[in-house]
Amino acid sequence: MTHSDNPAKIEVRNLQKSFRAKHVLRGVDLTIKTGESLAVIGGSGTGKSVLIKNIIGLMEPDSGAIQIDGEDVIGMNPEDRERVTRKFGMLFQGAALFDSLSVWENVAFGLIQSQGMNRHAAREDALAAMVQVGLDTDIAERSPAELSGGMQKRAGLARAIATKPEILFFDEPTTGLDPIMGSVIDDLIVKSVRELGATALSITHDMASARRIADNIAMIYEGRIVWHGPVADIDHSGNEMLDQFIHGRSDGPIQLRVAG
Amino acid sequence: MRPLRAIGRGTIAIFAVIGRISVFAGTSLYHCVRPPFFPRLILRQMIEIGFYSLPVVGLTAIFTGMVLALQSFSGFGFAGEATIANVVVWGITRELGPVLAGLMVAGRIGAAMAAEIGTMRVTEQIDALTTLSTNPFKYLVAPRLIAAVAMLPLLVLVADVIGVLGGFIVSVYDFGFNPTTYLKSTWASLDAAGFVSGLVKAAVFGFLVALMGTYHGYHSKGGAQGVGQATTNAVVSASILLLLFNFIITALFFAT
Repeated sequence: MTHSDNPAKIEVRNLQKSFRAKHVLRGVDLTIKTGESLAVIGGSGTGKSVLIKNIIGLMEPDSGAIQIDGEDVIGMNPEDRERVTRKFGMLFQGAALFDSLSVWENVAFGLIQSQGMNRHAAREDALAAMVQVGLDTDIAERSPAELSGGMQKRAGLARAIATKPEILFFDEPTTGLDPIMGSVIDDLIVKSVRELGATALSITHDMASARRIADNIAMIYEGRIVWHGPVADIDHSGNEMLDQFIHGRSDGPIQLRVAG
Repeated sequence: MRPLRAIGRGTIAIFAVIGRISVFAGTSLYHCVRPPFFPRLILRQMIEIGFYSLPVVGLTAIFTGMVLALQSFSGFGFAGEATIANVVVWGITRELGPVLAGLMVAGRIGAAMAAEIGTMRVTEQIDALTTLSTNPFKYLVAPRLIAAVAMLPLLVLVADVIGVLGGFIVSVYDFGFNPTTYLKSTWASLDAAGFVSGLVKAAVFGFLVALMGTYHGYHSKGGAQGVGQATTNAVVSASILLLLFNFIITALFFAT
């Protein structure tokens, strides 16, 4: 599917972020078109998580620009920022379900708190979202701690899509799951993004997952995007760093610093 | 130059911490008075802080009242009902009731708040709140502060009654004082300033315990070890601040 004619949903320009002397983002440029699903790939510590946290607003960048639907979000007042955040849904790496709430209350959280829906109606919508991601509604009253890792990811996905967001973020969606469950979660992600007509940004180092969920791939290395293109092109990109990463080779331009 | 550099660095670090806590407290207070409020969460915290702390505060108070009566009796030699009742009432309502209740709540509730919020921080639950358009200060911090400020005075009120009862039990059943005379002396010993100062202290202590619990939990990092550290810091800092503010409030009420 091509989205090249669509307007930009997320636009990142020359984004820089440092933690003391450590420059994590060194000028990231990225455009995600409306309806596109982009996966940012890269090794551990290359700045993937910092990038997504800056876009969501969990971190403030040192410099650069982030636009959502053409609006500059850096330095936005809290009310406007909250309005923009309502467009987001996010699946966290560890699902990040609230321990103190039941599964359905977790899924309905955004509906109740952000959209002001009453608890009864929100419960109905939450149960529908649970069914959508293949969760049995019998577990609605259970605590998240009683669920397996795969079920927690599904509940996290149900929470992310329950508010019908325009933009979905996925942080390492298959990490910690067995390959079959990883594939199931990927299929659910693809299905959810398509059904919502949402724009999706995923970060992952799992190449199988990236190939399944993304239209386009961007590779980040040492805080910069070193390759960006359609998922179909990654096997003949001519980019040595991308080749090394997708084939998992230890020799090549990417040098891992091993302490000791 | 090295010692001077170390002193300078330490001083800057202390002021940086004071600044961070002040900003955190200011932001929290802003969200305490600005809607939307979360009545269910406030009620849940009130039950957790007020109701479930009653046994530990009650036990502390009764034994403290009993010991106060015993020590007064042995310290003053034979003293009449009026003296013992006076020492117990003043000691409990002005100092020991609020301070001991505050310290007990700091150990029980401050630690629990830091551990719960700290765990939410390291498992990205606080980030999840933000992505769900919910301000963590409004959802996590404000209900705890409101509940602690509301419940500590009530706990201290209960501690005052139970502490005085402890003194009464020892005085009547151990020293053989006349219960009616002792109760009359107790009533006569009550002074409005001492009683009110105890309740004001309790509200301030509640604020400090909740502030330290939420502050350290909110800023915890590094997994289980970080959460453990946050819990320790919450209890230690709340206890020290509580004793410092006890002195300040006492000086404000009673210094001539």
